[in-house]
Amino acid sequence: MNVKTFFTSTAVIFSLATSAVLAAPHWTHEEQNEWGAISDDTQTIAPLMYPYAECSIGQHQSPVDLAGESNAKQLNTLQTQYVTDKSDFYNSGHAVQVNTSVGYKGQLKIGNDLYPLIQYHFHAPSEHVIGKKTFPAELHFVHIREDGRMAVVGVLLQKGAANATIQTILDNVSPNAAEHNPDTGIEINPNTLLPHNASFFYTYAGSLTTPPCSEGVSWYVLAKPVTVSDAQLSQLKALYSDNTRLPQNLNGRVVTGKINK
Amino acid sequence: MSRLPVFLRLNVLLLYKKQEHIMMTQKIIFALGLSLSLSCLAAPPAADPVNGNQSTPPSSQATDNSKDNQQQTAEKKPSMAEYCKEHTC
Repeated sequence: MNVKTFFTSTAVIFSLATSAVLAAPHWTHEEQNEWGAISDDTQTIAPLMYPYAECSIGQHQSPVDLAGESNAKQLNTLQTQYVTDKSDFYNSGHAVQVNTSVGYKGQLKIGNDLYPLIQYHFHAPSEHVIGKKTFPAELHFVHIREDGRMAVVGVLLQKGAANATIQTILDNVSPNAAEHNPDTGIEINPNTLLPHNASFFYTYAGSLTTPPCSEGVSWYVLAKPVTVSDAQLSQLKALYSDNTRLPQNLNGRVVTGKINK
Repeated sequence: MSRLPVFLRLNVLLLYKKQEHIMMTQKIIFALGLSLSLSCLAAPPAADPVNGNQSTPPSSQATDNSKDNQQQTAEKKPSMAEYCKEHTC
């Protein structure tokens, strides 16, 4: 057995694993209780045959009910350092989404750690609930570091005044699933989608709320909601309604908060 | 086998040992490959939201090299980032 054979074997297995993540099998929110059992028939190695297994067997899943949070004496500061971007409006087939451009410099600063903003998308109704209270919609800002660590900022949306940036997104996203719209030239600053006071938040360790439900996600759900108009909610729901995962068990986790009640 | 001449018996023994060695090497390579693949798939632990970021590995500390980190991020997006741009995650 020589070195060439070793590298060939490793490369084959590595490419199998990568393709398992990128070429993911189809899923829907209607069958969310069975995400973990969805199999990838192109795979023959047991762990790769069930790419969404973590959705069923994971113990630190998201979303959760944020009620009953405990105030921590010392929490990391949260700074959204977003900048204006020529965005890609994307109908992902699961949500209305905005992808940041290549080389985008906007980021989230947690303590001293920086997390680049990759995309943001909408769920209607909200995924996180507070004491079983559901909000009309929720916006997720997904940040992924080069080392793979993930942080998501959740913004709860409630009925009220219209948000101009949300209107721009809704007007430019394609009605067709899996269709990008990257060439509008429209510039968006994600800061305009945040509440005026973003220093109060709930935080806990969770997961992605859609397959593959990967755990190890640092969640920060802002305590102050942002308003959207009835018409905007209707427009959002016309594209996607009920694209929401139900609250998951905390399984011993603690939701801590920096909340100004 | 006891009736075979000594040199033939030695040859058979050497062949058996060689085969065993090859099989063991193959098993080790398979185990290494599998563990590498699984470690690529597995997500890293979440940062401790309380009391700082002690769980951060030294290589990923974004302190005084934030500009370098930004440039690296812009040039090389991780595969999970690619996945999250194509799928809602």
